[in-house]
Amino acid sequence: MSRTVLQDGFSAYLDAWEARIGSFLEKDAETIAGSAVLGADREPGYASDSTKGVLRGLPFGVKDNIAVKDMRLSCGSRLLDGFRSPYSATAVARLAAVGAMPAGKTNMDEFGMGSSTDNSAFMRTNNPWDVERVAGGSSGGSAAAVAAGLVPFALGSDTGGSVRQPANFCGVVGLKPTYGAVSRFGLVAYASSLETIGVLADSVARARTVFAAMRGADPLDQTSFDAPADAPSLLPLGGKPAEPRAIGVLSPSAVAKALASTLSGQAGPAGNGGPDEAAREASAAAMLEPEVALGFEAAKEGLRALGHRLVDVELPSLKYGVPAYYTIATAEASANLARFDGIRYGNRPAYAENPDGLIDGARGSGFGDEVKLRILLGTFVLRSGFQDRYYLRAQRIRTGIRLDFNRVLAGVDAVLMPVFPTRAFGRGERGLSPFAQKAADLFTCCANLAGLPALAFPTGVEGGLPVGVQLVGKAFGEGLLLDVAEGYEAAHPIARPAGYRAFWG
Amino acid sequence: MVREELQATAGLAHLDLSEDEAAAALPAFELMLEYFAAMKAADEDEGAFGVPVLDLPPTTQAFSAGNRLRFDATANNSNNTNSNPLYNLANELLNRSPESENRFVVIPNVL
Amino acid sequence: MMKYQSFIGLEVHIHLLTKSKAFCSCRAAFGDEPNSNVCPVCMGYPGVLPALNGEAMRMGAVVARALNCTLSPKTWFERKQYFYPDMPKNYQISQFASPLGVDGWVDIPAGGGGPASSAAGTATKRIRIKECHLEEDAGKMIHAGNVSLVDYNRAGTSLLEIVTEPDFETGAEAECYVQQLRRTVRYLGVCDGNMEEGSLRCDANVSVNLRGQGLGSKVEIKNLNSSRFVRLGLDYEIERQVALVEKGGMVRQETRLWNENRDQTETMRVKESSNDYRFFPEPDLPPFSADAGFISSVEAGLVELPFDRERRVGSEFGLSREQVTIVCEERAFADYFEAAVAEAERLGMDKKVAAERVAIWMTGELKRVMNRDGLGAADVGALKVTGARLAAIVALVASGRISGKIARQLFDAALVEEAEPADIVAARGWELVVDPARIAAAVEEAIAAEPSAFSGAAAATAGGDVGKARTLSAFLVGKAIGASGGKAEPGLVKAAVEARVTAAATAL
Repeated sequence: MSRTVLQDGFSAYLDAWEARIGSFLEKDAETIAGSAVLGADREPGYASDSTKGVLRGLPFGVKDNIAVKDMRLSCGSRLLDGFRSPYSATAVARLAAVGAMPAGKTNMDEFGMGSSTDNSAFMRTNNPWDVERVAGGSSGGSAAAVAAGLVPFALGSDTGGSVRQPANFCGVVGLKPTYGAVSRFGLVAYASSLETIGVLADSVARARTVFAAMRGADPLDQTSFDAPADAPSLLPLGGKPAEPRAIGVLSPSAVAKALASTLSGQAGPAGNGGPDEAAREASAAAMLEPEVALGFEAAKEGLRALGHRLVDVELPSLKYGVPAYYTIATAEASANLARFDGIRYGNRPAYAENPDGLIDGARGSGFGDEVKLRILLGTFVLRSGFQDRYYLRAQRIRTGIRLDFNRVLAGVDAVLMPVFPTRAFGRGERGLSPFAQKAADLFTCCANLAGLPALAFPTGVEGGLPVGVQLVGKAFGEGLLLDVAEGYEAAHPIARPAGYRAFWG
Repeated sequence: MVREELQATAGLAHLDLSEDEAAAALPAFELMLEYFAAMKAADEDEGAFGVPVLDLPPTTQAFSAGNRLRFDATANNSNNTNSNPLYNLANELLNRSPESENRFVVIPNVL
Repeated sequence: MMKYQSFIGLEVHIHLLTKSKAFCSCRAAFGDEPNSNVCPVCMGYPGVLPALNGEAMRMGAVVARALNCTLSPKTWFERKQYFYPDMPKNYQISQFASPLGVDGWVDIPAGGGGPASSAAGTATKRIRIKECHLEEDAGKMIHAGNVSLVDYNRAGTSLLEIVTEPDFETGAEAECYVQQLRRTVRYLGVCDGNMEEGSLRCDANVSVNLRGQGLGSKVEIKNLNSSRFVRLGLDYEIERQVALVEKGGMVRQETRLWNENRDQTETMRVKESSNDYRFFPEPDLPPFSADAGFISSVEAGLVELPFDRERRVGSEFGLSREQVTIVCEERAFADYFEAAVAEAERLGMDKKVAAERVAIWMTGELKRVMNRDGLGAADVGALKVTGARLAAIVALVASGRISGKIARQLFDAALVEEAEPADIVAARGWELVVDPARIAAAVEEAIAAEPSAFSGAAAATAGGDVGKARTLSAFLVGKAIGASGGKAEPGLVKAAVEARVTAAATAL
């Protein structure tokens, strides 16, 4: 399907966009241009047959923390610069089996730790709508590549919002599936119990097709599942209107207010920046930018107009979500990233006297500052004597958040909320502090804590930048979320950045 | 207190933090720990959870779908070796080691 | 020593005999080319996940049950975090909060020494088993000059750690426990028990204190890689600690290594207080609930254990204690014994007689040949002389169809020929002559050849000189057997000779 619509100008188009946005760390331009000979012999590693299958001939971008045999697998880290994967992720293999072709590795925040992709050790990725702004993160390269029309879809990973937030910043569809719905085999682990491989796509229908091809239990990932038989169908709407649903609306201002009241007055351990510095910054970071609030209200109107019933819901546990999320995520990360020691693969220092020197040197020079900070935090919260106060308490809060979602989702089909308090932010003075970026994960990270599916989709453009919303659904309820969003997209076609050309059918 | 904790933690994590790096990392480290400490409020926040959070069991995995066990067979014996992407990679893995000799991975160990 | 009390706890690690590793499909084998049984999972590559081997769980649970542990209804794994170059992920997947089995026990002979089981009434001592938990092994490091060489073949293989309470008091008790445990896991078929290759490894913790004062400060002993070293190392360490305390000194909490060349323990490292493993539940593996299917597969694996078998074999078959010990050394050997006896019974022999004859063969000829050929008792299944064939040999002797001397030749032949003993006997013409006419002919031939012996025997019989008569008759029997080419059945020949001598004596 792709070849017939490809035009001669594609290579120039690709190069021009890449020079501006820098979404790929490595790309196979031939595959992307579709000029490669289609056939099984091209990619022996995938047993692919790109002449058949629902995604036949379509190239896709792969976030650089997802393994594609013989392609780089750097995770945006210096420590893994030059490392090539000896195997492919299950999700990649399944897409190849239905004809899609991995076309390159996209830029990302190192090991998925960041909200801007500026934490990549290699290069910046710029937002296709405004190259002075970030593409979001950590799957920023995937989001930018799809938004600019360089690939029809790309894989990302979502640990606390890393698919949905960059999708939202770049104006594309971002699906974070139910935990375990897609095998994590081949996804370099950041926070194992929270993350999933997700899809960034140029349309809801495409996200649906890709997800349907990837999902399902995998013997190589014992935390993966098949969807239960009664899960909502993934069949395309095919132009029919989506069935009207009951959609719970979480009031963003109520959440911000709750944050301000609860988190203030909690004295910190050191009080370095004043006892309430963290709380103050966190509640400030949760306030919606006016354009985002505007977009949210417009989306509500749009959904109502499509016949959905909107009801107000509250998730009072949400205010604890971000600290619980970062406690768990960093704890798991501290163990997951321990394997990077420069011994069996990756880069090691030119000289070391002994194993400790080698390991310390490899990690000291291989990891960036944000990764080191999170490893330190995660190591700290797991130390004996501190576990109860941090890690264990966070896991109890996680239970509370799960139950809170279960309660709300017993009464509605999905919960509507913002994706991120701001649109794509700028850099330096015009940006967000590293702490504010973390605190702003409050709308995304809770779906990861609860393991629920969440779909971010663009709803419009405010002030020259895309805005959107997300729907959080019941476990394995991706089909329902996709139906609602596809209906919305039919009524409100997705806006594209200036210079965008549609090459993909 | 936190400064020493930071260095002790860096030691456990095998991160080679210089004095300068530690000093640079400290404010962000402290700020995040302060943020984490705010979770304590949840212990008594029945409004948020319906019950005291201390009465809730910890969640380590969002879902559990019963036992998952692998059949005890070696990849080499599998009839369909192509289905296992981990099959027969030993030499490729060895090639990725920064230093190896006679099939061993080599690391320095000056006594 | 009465003034002091010693406390020894053992941690024994056994390699489970799974075909593949604990969390990946790599071959679990000893002695292969370095880094040949490795894959991205056991090499700690980015992006891979562990996949739990069901057989490792089953085997681990079988051991736990055999040691009278309670199986945890729900178990899971934790990550135990520390950096070490032979540990690819720099954490070990292990069990911390929910071991496979807990709160078990085993009985050993009080004071150590021989097997506790066979002699009923031997005083026993109960050793409490704290827990059995499943974990993965690390690779191996070889130090070579100013580098170390790492081989990851062993990394990720399944290990079961069996932890006792500090219930041993002497090296002899600990040695006995290790030997007994070794036999138990071999009987269960879950570990080869090879201490030299590290399939069974033993670490100990030792403390001494004034009697009645509870545990002293604990010293860990490593490198106890034979059961003898377990005894020597622990006895040495207890003496060392007692001497230290006697002199008013303090025992330092540390880890010591047994130096087998100098017969002493030596400081390896002083306990670091900063050792913080930061355990947390392994998020990549779902918890496991012991369901009915799993429990029944475990129960099915609980074969009769060495003790019970020794006790039963002793009383059921009437063997001596020495015979029982040898016959029951290995499960395969005991199986061989019981199969042979059952076959001999089927062939018409009395059970006790058959058992006695089979046991004599097994403890004598069979053992000798296996030792000669470098086979252990467990390898008995590799012999061409199966239990059933040994039974056939024993039955051929019992029925008088072959002589004891022929039986040994037959056994030797059966060792190398894939054939039934009866067929070998027939093919070689080894069967004894029992035909009365042929016996009589041989006897007449002997009398004709030795007339003076015959007449002397008759005269001695008539004159009541029993001793002389017996000697001369035996001489004639030998001659008659010789005349038959050694094939005449001795009993029949003897009867025929005696009949002829008696008749001649009566005629005098």
